[in-house]
Amino acid sequence: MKKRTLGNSGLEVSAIGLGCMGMSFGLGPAKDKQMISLIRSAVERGVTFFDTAEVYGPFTNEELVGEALAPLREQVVIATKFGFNIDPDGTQHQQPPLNSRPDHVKEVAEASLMRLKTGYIDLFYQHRVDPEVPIEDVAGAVKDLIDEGKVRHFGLSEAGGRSDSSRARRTASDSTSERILTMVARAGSGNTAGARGIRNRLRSI
Amino acid sequence: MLEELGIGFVPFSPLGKGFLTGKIDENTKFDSTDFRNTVPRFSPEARKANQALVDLIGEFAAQKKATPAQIALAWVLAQRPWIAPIPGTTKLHRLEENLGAVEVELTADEFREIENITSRVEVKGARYSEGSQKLVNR
Repeated sequence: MKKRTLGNSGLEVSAIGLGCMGMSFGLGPAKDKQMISLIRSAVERGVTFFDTAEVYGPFTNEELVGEALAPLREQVVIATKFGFNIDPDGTQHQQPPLNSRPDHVKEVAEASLMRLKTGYIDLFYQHRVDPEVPIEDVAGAVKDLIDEGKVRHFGLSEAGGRSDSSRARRTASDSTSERILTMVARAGSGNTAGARGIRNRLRSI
Repeated sequence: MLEELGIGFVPFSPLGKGFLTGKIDENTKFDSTDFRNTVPRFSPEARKANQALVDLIGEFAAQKKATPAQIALAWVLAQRPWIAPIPGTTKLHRLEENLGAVEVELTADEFREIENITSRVEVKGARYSEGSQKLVNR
């Protein structure tokens, strides 16, 4: 399998990763148990990039990915996401639906690490931009996690834009920390517009 | 912008939530827990209209001796070297089909032909429900 590097983050992944959401969430009944062997088959075929999120389930998809990849941890890159307003017991609040307050981000990271059965998250995305929390504060919380060795890279998902990417980047660059935040963006291609959606996003982000 | 900033890009749903595989049509019934039931682009009318795009990609794929899904992924991969798509699947044969896309090389002419195909069909239906749409692009 060919490898690619995501921007100048230095994060190297297989050219095609595996999105794991639909194995337990959103696309019909959960298929968890048989999926462990599917995930491991993907690794055998050279896939090193696996995508999950706290909200998928919630929690169950991270648990599945964690169980499947625990014996193969050093060979793979695991991406997960924070940012929805979910209590530790799994209650998901709709008002407000999002929560990227720094203390919450850090709690989610700890819980995700437990479910993923790992000591570090390779790529930690903010799943949706939280209008209540400045991106600088979010980036700061992730930077703390990076400094603690719990997270390797920071990503934004479905961010609208210009200001977010560059402001988060600026926060990272201005930081006195030796570890510069590296960023990866993630966005949906948007169904059948797949190709076109990505092209438009390349222009707009 | 991403290139300038040195930011990588990970496209999700590169197969249009399954639609670009060509295995979903206007008659496909989704499980009651499937969120595609809430997606305007997956209404039967939208699927019927958007089928034209899948058909065109399917014709191109057949000439290339590849599948529509492989063409969709190869096109994404050909965009920039710092992009890595993450198609989802629950089936081993679909996983293998997707991974086969890295071997599909597109010439400059073929790349333009795909651009041409995608610009010929007006895709119908929003990609998110109204509620979900409020949370993106902020």
